[in-house]
Amino acid sequence: MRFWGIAWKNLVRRPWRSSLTALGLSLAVAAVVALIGVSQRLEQSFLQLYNQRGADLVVQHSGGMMQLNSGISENLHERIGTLPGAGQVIGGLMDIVALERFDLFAVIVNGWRADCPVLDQVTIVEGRRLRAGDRSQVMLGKVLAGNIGKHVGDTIEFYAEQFEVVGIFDSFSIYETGAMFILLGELQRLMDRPGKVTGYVVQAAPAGDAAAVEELRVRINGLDPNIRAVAVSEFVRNISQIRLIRTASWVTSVIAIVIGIVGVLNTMITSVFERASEIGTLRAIGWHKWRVMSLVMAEALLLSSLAAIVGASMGAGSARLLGCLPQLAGFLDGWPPGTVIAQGVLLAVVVGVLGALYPAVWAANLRPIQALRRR
Amino acid sequence: MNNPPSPANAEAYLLQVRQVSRVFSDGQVSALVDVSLSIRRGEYAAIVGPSGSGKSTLLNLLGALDRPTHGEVLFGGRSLSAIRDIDSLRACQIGFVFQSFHLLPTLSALENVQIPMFEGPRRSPSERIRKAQELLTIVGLARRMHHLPSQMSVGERQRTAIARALANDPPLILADEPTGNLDSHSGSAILDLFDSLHRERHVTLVVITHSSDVAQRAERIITLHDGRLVPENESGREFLHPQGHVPAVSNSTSP
Ligand SMILES: Nc1ncnc2c1ncn2[C@@H]1O[C@H](COP(=O)(O)OP(=O)(O)O)[C@@H](O)[C@H]1O
Ligand SMILES: [Mg+2]
Repeated sequence: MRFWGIAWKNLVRRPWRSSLTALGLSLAVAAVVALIGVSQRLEQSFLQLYNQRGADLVVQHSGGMMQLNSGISENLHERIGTLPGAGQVIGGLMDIVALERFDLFAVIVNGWRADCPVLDQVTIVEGRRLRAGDRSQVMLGKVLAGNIGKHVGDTIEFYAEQFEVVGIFDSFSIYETGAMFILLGELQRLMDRPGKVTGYVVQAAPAGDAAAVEELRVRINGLDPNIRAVAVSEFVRNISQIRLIRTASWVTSVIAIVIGIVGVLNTMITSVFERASEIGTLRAIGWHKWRVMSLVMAEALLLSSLAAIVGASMGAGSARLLGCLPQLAGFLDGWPPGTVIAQGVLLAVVVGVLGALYPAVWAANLRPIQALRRR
Repeated sequence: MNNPPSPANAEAYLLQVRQVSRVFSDGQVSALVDVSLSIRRGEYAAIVGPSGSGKSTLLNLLGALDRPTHGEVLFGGRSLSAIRDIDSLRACQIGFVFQSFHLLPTLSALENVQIPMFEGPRRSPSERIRKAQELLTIVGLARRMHHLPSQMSVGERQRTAIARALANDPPLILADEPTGNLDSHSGSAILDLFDSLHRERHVTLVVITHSSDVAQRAERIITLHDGRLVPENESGREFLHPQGHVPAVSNSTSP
């Protein structure tokens, strides 16, 4: 018989108590794995959107990140584009509208210039792209068009105006396939923001050279005190929605850890109290304090390892299932990254150790004669 | 009968108790008062006395489970208070047998016997199993090795506990009323076992008992009364019961 065998038999003698504790801890681990997994994948898919477009810098109003209501001048387009080291510049205005008739409450509307490269980079699957002179014309992303059942020639109402669907496009990014495009001038009128864009996405001329990107960033910042250029990765990290989800997932983790520790503590204290006489016997027949401590810790570790395996699988599975929902298609495909699963497992082990510490020390300090007299 | 510390004494005596008193602080109870005695290597001693006379307290002091309030206990000539790793001493030098066995309920007989082997001389898992099988065969449980305590008779449980006490081949066995919970038949089986341990393995045995059977088999009877030693020429036999049972204590509530 091995040491872990003794620990295991102590767990299975109270199968309900042990499995309920393990289940509680599993749910905590699952919540953490799912939430952190989702927030990381959201961040990754955002990053992918910009990286695939070859963007190095995002230029916005210096007031803050991702601010839809504080635009910057449309005229900066040419000034940025002519800076040394600047490559492609894409400027656009963005808004979020509700299509209440279709139960969609956050649909992205992008306003692009007619010569905007984005309009060429998306794949037209039906109809045509927007062109100069269009007014009440709109292009729909494929997923959005599918969700609301619109085709080329149909009309759609937003901003209390009628728009004619002239094209349906596909893209690698869920942010685009779920969005609609109209011309910049039209969106400026509808949003009452003449001459403004939400921001620019800028590519450095020798693409991907970190030093060149940094030089360009400094030059852009020198153009106007009201604008700020940041690296794409920093921009994505600071998108407030992503920050919110990330914060929420960490808060959940902390709550999960605390609840997990209390659960393990409660289980191990009860278990050790009711076995006081047995533990006293172990001490009486010569087990050292540290061996008694190890036994209690081993029991908690077995419990939490079990919870880690079950919880990490449940968390990864539910993150995977979320990704299968049509509304989230493309956002969250695949399994959460291994590092997230490792975090969940580590969390369970930490919880096991911390929760068992006090009961283990209590057990180790049982005085054998007192414990033997308890019966 | 104070034994001055000398190498010769350490050779002859496994245990020496010197003017030991034990006061329990909570109730101001003097469980033992100025007790001195020595137990030779290979001796078979019985401790008798009425309930509450301090027998278990004395045995716990001999077994390094407790420390005296005054005086000292020497094991093999060394004071227990001077021994740093008292746990290892208990694991390797002393085998305990308790009245209510104190087996681990989740473990089979074979596994219970292996428990002390986690301390003491290094043994591989297979060596532990072999040793446990050997000991269970000695106590006559070769066919019950894989039974849980709850699946065994009380006599079999006590034999398992004795096999566990022998796990690390200790020179000393301390038993606190080992037959107290057994019928006379299982009780005498246990005593036969003690006899053979004493004769064949030269184990030193100190056994608390109410049974005259034990007292008859022991070489020596130590009698306690109110925490004091009764001189050995005076009889302790009045505390013994011929059937080997402890009769129900009649706290005579006189009319
Ligand atoms: N841990 C303890 N705390 C307080 N009193 C104790 C303790 N152990 C024993 N006693 C008291 O010491 C006396 C002797 O007890 P014990 O040695 O168990 O007697 P015996 O074994 O002869 O029946 C009793 O009065 C008992 O109540
Ligand atoms: Mg007693």
